[in-house]
Amino acid sequence: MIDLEHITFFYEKKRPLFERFSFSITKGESLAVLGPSGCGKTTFLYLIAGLLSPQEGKIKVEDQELRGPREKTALILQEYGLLPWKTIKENVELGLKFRRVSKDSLSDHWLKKLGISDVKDKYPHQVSGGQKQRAAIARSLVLKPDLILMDEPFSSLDAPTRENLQKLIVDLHKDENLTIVLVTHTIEEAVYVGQRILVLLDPPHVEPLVIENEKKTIDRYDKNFISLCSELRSYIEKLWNRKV
Amino acid sequence: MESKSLNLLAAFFLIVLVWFLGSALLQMDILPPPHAVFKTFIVNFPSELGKHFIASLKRVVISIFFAIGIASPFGILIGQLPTLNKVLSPFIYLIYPVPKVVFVPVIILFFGIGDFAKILMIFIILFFQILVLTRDNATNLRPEVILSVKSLGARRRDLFFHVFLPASLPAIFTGIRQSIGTAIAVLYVAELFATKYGLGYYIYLTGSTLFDYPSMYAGIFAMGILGFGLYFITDFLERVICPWKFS
Repeated sequence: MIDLEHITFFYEKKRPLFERFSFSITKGESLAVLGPSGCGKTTFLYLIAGLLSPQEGKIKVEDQELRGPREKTALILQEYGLLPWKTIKENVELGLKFRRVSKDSLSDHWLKKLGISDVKDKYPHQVSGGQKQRAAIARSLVLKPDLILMDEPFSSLDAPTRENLQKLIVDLHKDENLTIVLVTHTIEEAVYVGQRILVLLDPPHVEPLVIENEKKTIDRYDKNFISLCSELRSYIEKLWNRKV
Repeated sequence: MESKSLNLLAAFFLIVLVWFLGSALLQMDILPPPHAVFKTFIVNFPSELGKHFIASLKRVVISIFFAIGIASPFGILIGQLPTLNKVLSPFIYLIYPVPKVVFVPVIILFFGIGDFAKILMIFIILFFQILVLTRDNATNLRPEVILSVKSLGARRRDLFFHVFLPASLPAIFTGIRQSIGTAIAVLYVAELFATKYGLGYYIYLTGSTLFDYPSMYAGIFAMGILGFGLYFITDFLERVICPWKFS
């Protein structure tokens, strides 16, 4: 579904983050992008979102070269990206308004399904962090996306809310057949959500470092889950130490 | 009644009481008692004083209208275009702190003594206040908010009406509130120069030429009502237009 073909990207007067980097994401896959702060994982997401363009190489989504934000791509950010002057319902319907789509019952459906219909008339500062993030997810889903990009969406939430929302994403991926790219710096989250894990360490990234998560489970107490998390941790630590 | 309204009322009565006591103690024509002034106000307002009040109100309202209409989009534009901000900031930095009242003679020399010069003067005061506040507000808007709205398919026009403008509204109201006092003071100075109507002219005429002190104080009271009324309306409109700030 997404093909990055020999892309090079750098911010002005900074060293490259990606250098002739190639990578593919298949349709319906859930990919976790794992790495420390400043490794370029958010930039990776913005490139796929069409909000940034590589200086060299091409990014194709559904065989079409990406030249800007795409209608069926949704972006969910850590700080929710909700507008403080709009109610939860108005925020959820924002994309429909921009695309001049009539506000059909889809927004009510997702408000209800994500459990935030009782706070739909409240402003973002009046609801909890978890409810804000659910609103951000609902805002994406009303646009019927085929690709959801998430940038550390749960990092500022408390543990039970975070785990709850991680499960919601896994369920949505399964039920709606969505392609999901989740950027995170938490190993457990990457293992929980990602069928594959792309590890980004020290830039510039030339070759993708991918870890397959074939035994993916949603049981956090499952032996496989725990052992994969610890394997991944020691693996990344080894790589990290080698780089440092 | 809300406690804020009660406090306001109590403060008003306290000022009137101090004024009454001062007048009773001094027993001078230049400080008439409040009841004499209020009586003059009630008698004069429907006729002569009302006309002066309307003339001043019209000048302030037109100035506010143009200041908002020009300074807010300009402030948003500067705040969102770093290059433009870099070019214009030194000029704003130099002009902003200069007390605008010093421009009164300059504006009269260039634009005469008509309504336009008076409106322009108040406009300049409000313009810089609103410009600086909206610019700072637009500069501080979190980039991820803009990115996420763009990713929903927002066009330039959508960004202006759904992001930049609502984000700037509280700053615009703050700008108006902060400038009303200065604007009214400058209006008074501007209305001293060859005009037939305006509270500044009325106060000066009744006080310095006619020595009709109750009328002069009634004019001062009307000027107070003008300032307080505009302040009150600004607060009210902010509550209506920016409900998220008060919820």
